[in-house]
Amino acid sequence: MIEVKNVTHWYARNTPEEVKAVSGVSFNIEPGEFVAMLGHNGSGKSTLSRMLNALIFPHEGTIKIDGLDSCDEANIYDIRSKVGMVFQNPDSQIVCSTVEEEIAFGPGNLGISREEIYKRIDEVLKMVNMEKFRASVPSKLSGGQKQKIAIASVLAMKPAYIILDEPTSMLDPYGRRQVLDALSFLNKSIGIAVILVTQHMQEAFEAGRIIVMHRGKLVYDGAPEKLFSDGKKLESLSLGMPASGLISESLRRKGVKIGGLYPKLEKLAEKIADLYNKGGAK
Amino acid sequence: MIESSFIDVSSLSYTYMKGTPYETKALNRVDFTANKGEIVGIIGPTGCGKSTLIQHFNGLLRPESGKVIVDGLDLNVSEVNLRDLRKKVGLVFQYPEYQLFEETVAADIAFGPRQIGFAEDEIGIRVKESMSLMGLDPSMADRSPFSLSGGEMRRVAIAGVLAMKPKALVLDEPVAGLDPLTRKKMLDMIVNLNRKEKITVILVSHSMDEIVEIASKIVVMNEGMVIASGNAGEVFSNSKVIDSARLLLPQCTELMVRLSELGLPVRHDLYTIEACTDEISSLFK
Repeated sequence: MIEVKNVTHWYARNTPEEVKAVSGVSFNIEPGEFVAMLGHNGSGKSTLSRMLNALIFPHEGTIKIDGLDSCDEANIYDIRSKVGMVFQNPDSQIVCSTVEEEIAFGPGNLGISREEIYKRIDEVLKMVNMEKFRASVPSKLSGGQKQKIAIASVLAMKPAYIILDEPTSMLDPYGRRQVLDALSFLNKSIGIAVILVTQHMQEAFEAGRIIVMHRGKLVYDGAPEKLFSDGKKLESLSLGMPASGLISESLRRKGVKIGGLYPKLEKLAEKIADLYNKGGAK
Repeated sequence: MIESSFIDVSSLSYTYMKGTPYETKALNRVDFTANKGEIVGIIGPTGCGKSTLIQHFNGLLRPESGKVIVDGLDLNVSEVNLRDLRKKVGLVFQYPEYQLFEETVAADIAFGPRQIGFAEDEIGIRVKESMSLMGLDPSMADRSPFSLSGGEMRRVAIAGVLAMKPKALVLDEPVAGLDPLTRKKMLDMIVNLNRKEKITVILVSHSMDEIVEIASKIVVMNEGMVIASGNAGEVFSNSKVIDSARLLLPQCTELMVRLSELGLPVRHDLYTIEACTDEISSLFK
């Protein structure tokens, strides 16, 4: 379990430029959860997510990963092998000249045996559906493929939790779909906990739970449906509706009685068809 | 038609690392036109040549073969004045806030016009005007750009380009990575620049929903070629184009397709939320 207790972090602390980036935040994440983290630019999402794998540290409060305190230096390597991190731009994380070497890099540094590393390369490439690219040159891959390789290299460390900081913001729609499908598979079939930081509201519905950061504070922790049913609140948090929500709102304004919220287009289509067939139409 | 075109590209090809084993053909006989006052959206998968194409518009790349004419300047002529060209066309890269470097917002915005050699009072006026166009409060002028939020930093970066008073603005993914509210404000500002300041806008984006809401013409690229061009209807009604460039339909169009699959008598050649919900609500009247 990831336990975040009353955590505060400042940048440029005790200088005139001091900024409190994260302020008194508490939450837990259980193994196997899928959590989306939303919030405006500068809300503290990235600071918080970097604290979860001990890249930076709380100034106040504690973070424990499976009981290991991140402020205890002796725990740092254990924490980083439990919590994998994938950044926005795969190019800033990929260092090797073939996919295979890239994936071997992390476990190689941990001193894991050659046989075991080969086994892991096979396993993780399969998990992200990239077996065919084992010998490929990363720079020749598409954005979505590169991001999947970045994810696979993190998976090769066998993390229990994987944090992704806006992993799809540089990808085209197809690449984005590939990455989201891979995450959903890792979560549902392998049981890895996923923490997805995103600005794409539709992606948030992949998660069972949403955490919203606003000006350094945690202001929402709960189900996606509840958050997205309150348009005014969303706007006050600099968030927005996914496309299906915008369509539902517009329909309601035009007098179509569709009722609740339909984050998925299929459901919205079914509801409209249902209304139509029940004779709502003349 | 010819007299109203601002950027005219015909049969443009470009190859990276030509003559080496890493040779990559990025553009393959591309034709492209942006008329004065238009908003043109360019879409297509990662690596399809979008960024290579737009770098020709202000002379960062020179045509290898084919023709590029920008506001009457022929970029094939080697002695073309790049300074004149860059005053005409402002190019905003992806994540332009990474290029901010000055100590204050005002100094950063002033950098371009100062390089060109404008008088200081002219520079001061341009800084004020550009800040106001990008909705930046005058009180921000003396702040460090690095103390601003991501969305504000990006607006400062674009203001720096606007300070050159370009006739056309070329933006590579201007809303990537912004939160939804900031994204909406940025798109409104871009539309305003087009409507009020009459700036021709060329916009690269991965968001079909945003492109259809603001662009009057959409150009689809794939594997270094332009494979479709026209209004939303002309582009998205062609399933071959959609499949080969692995595009998604705008979400509201996707909904209309699903509704007609469910047997509802609706058109699915509609591409904006307004048009789609009008069509759906008419079923119930």
